[in-house]
Amino acid sequence: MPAVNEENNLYNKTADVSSDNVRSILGSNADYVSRVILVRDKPEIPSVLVYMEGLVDIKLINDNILKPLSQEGQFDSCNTEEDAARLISMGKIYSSSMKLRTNMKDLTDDILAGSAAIILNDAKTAFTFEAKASLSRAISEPTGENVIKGAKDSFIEDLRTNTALCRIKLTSPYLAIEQIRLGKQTKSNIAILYVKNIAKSKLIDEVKQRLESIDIDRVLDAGVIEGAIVDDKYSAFPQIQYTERIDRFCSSLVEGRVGILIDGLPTAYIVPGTLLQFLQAPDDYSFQFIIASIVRFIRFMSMFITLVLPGFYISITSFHPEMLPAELAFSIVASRVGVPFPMFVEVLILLLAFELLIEAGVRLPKVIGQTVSIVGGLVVGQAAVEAKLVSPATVMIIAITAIAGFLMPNQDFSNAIRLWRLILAIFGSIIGMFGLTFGLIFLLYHWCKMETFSVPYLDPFVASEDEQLQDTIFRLPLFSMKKRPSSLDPKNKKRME
Amino acid sequence: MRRFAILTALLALITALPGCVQIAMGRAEIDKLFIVRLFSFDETKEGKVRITITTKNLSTGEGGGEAVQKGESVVSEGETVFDAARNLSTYADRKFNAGHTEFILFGESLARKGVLPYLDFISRHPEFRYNAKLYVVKGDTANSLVEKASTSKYFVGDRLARIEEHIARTSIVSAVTLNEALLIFDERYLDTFIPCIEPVPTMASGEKPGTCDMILSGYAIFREDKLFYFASREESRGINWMLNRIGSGTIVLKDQTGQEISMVIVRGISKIKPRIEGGELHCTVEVSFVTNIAEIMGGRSIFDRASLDYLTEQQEKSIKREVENAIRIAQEKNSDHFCIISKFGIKYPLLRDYFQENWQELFPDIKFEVSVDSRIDGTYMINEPVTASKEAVGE
Repeated sequence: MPAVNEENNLYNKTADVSSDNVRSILGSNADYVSRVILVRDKPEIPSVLVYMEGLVDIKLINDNILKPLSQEGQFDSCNTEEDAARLISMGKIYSSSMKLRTNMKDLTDDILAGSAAIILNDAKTAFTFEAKASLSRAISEPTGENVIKGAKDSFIEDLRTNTALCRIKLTSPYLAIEQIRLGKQTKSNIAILYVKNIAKSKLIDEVKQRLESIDIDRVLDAGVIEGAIVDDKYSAFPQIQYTERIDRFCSSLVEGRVGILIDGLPTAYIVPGTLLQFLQAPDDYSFQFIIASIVRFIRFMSMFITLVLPGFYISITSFHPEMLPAELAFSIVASRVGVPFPMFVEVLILLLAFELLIEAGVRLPKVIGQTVSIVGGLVVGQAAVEAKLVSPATVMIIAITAIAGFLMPNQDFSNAIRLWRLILAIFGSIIGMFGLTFGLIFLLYHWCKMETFSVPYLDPFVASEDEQLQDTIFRLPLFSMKKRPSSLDPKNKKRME
Repeated sequence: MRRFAILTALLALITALPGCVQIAMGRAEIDKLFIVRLFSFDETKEGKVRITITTKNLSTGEGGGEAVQKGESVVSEGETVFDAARNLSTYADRKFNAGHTEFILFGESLARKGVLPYLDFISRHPEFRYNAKLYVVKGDTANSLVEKASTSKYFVGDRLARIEEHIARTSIVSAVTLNEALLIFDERYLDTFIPCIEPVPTMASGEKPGTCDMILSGYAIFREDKLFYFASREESRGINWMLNRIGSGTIVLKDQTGQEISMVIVRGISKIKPRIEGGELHCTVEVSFVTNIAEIMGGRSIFDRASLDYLTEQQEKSIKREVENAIRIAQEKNSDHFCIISKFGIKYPLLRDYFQENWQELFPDIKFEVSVDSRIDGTYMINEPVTASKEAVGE
């Protein structure tokens, strides 16, 4: 096995192409396959077939590469390796994706990406043929974004399938798909998608520039890209929208946003991501607008409830009991009889228990996860109330908070709200409503100062040009949304005339 | 640095503007508070102030048990109101919180001595609500009423609240809030009226001896801040007509044949129109109301024009009698609790000072004219008297 330094010397743009060099770099791997093939059984024209077992489709290699080289008459006329190279480059081997490789770096990258290589040592030339085995799973329903009315297909881990799915949904000739590679080790393909006649050039350039400037070892999870390209890296709030749904992704492209697809990940990313996007669900546009508006309004309310309720509850029960209706105050007092903890600690215990349950539910297999929820939520909850560790009223408050939180369509946003809920509860426990108010002002300040790809995070609530509030807290009929979001400054501003 | 400056400014604003120091100090867990529902003031035999605070103790009925609502009282005495209030902390295991005080009760003997020091204490206390209702306990102390009226199942505050909910059905009294009372007490020339409640022996079975019910027995009329006299139930409704505070109520009449008819007041309004004629003060009281026939205690049908006209006339006479009676007693006692001086003051602003200086002499001599107009509107689905014979009905 060659030393790492030797490998590095060979794996560069200047090293000559040869089967020995390839063997030096990849030969120690168990899945490395190398075989000498004599072109038309002529010993004077040896070629070396190289591929990584498992990555390639053997039948494709047999039928499209080996058969023409050794059995069929196309190569009868060649006497030297140079002749063979010339005939291959003329397309005598049945492959639409043939690439001529004259340096070791490109050759090795192709082999590792699932191509089979024919190396002609004397000619110092190699040809690679894409012969990828189909390793991706079938297109299935999205798991995190269920809809009642709407398409049931979702992205999968294979980038090319994902771009094809986008092409199927968005047949516009202006749909542009650009591709870059990221990750020193993983060399993952990243596709940037946008609609050329809609998306603002500056936004596209900005996305490309930020992606290209990422210097990282691996791109195996979404956080790598997300963390590297967002504007405010210390904010808990998401600034990039993610989706499993192809229809949602394409809708965003048509609005003038830019999409990012990462090879190996079944989720797509949309930039810029604003607060409003994280409160919109795909079903909002499937239902009649009055129903959709009510649902959207409830979602906004639930965001406020899940954010503020624990802090508000601590504030009014610890600082401003006169704010409660008298009968409710007496009920809370009755329910807290025998509970040894102050209200803040009680709320904190329940919030923590709730977080533990969520984590347990996510990490465990589905079947066990459900059992944990039942045991944790019902059995332990009931026992905790009966043991007077927590009061039933507080359990109800945290349950309402949790249920309201589950209405958030975006998990990243929901996580940020969970964090801020705790911050507001702490503020509320220090100086009551004044603390809670301070926390909310601070949150509003944080949102106001945030920008994502030069778009205000609170867009369109802070839109300066024209008030595009048709699709905000309420979702008005689609015919009233004649213009694309002005904050994205699209090339084509009108959706419809 | 900029962020830090903004945050500091926000924090400074929030902590400085509302007087945050007091708020931070005011932290108390809700279950460590004695949430007062009833605040009662009495005078002891030694002339001290006695405060009784009452809260509701709610058991949640755990383990399948029945939920029980009980009152829990703490009594404290002191030389002054403030002293007695401070002494409450000596007797209570929790900090008292008056933010939920719904009722403020005054014992009769204390009310006769004067209620202003108590109202002054309440109005300056930061926790009391200005919409708390005031009551005078007739013939007893407030402390005694709270004890006697708490039954094994129901909290006295809830019983009072239920009574108050139905106050408009009889219109014998109307609720008077702390705010209203303070406003009237501020008017030197007006007498205040506060509804009074009276303990009566309970008719419920299974209660311990001495348990009592409460009834509303009219208004307690105050001169300055002292209880002047108790108005009867009839006079109190007359006062309500004068004050335009009628919600509903019943009028029991006799028709031409002597059978009793119950009329229910559906709506009613009154207007007082002051005027000066020939150097004399005159007031026209215009009352108009609408009734429904609620019950016929007899077999004769009254659904003919003559009978209905007769009943209309009778109900007008009845109400006129109530109003005139209330006016007569008020003038006899020289007690203007109808706010007549304000009405003259509004109509004749230049004479306002004259009225204020001479109102004690002027009020008894005002000539009141009461005009009543009424209409019978409905019958609550009574087509014929229930005891009418088949022949009379026409079958």
